[in-house]
Amino acid sequence: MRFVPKSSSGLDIHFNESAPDRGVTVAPIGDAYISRGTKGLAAVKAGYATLASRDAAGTLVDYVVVRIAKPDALVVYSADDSSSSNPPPVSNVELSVGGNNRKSFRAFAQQNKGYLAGSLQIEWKSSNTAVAEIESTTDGKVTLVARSAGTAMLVATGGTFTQQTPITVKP
Amino acid sequence: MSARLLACALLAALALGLGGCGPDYDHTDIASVRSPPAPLTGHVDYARVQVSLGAVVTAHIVPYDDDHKVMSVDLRSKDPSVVEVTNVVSDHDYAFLGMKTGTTEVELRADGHLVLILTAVVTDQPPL
Repeated sequence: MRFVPKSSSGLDIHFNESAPDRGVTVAPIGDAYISRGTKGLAAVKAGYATLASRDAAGTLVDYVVVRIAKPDALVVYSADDSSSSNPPPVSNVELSVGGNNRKSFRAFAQQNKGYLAGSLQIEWKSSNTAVAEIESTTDGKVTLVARSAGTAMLVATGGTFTQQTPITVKP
Repeated sequence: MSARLLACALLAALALGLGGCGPDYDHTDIASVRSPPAPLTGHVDYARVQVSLGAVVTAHIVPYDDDHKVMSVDLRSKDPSVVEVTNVVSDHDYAFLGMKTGTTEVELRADGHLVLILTAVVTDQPPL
């Protein structure tokens, strides 16, 4: 069993190809640190959680220990940049009316400048929708579209963290 | 004389039959204890199981009779909400899962007979 942090879904659990067919299930041990809901696994508090996989008979197949960390920052990066598996954070956004008028972004939680797997519920907004507007938000990815020349702020809020990124729209 | 010898032989055979001739439980081997990674803790021995909250400790547990033959084993937690005991895919390996802090007991039965009672304790994780 291995965990693959993925930007689209936050955290994926990969098994042997045939394991799901054999009724293998994954669940946390106890619910003090991770709970399991309809949308997947949710961190409850900082500490160490163990995720165990069992077969259809309930026999323990494998397990992995996961550290649950409390984030200390939120970082925005470009969702359009597929050239690197570790793109740099975005410090400002440049768009132009008519031409390159659309860009997409994601936000990730960090602790001690290291990325944390899993996804936060992020709320996105533009401080000036006449300049740039949120076009869509899908699977944690936001698409910003330019409306008119000017400046604005792209605001990402997740939990108790807010990250503001300056937007410049050129004519 | 022959009747007397026959009576003695019958008496001896009866005594042997009443004493029982099948093998009895001898001992249990507990080995290959695999603790969770630090800072979590886990331990299994003949008297006690200890595991951190939310963690797993596994052990290889095999009871033997006095003919040194492996006996069937059944492990059962008296309170699975504190410590859950489950089989592992490999033979004679068992996992003790720390479900919530507290203390309970785990009973070990060999060929259906209670042979060991282990105190099982789930402890809080050390502070981060």
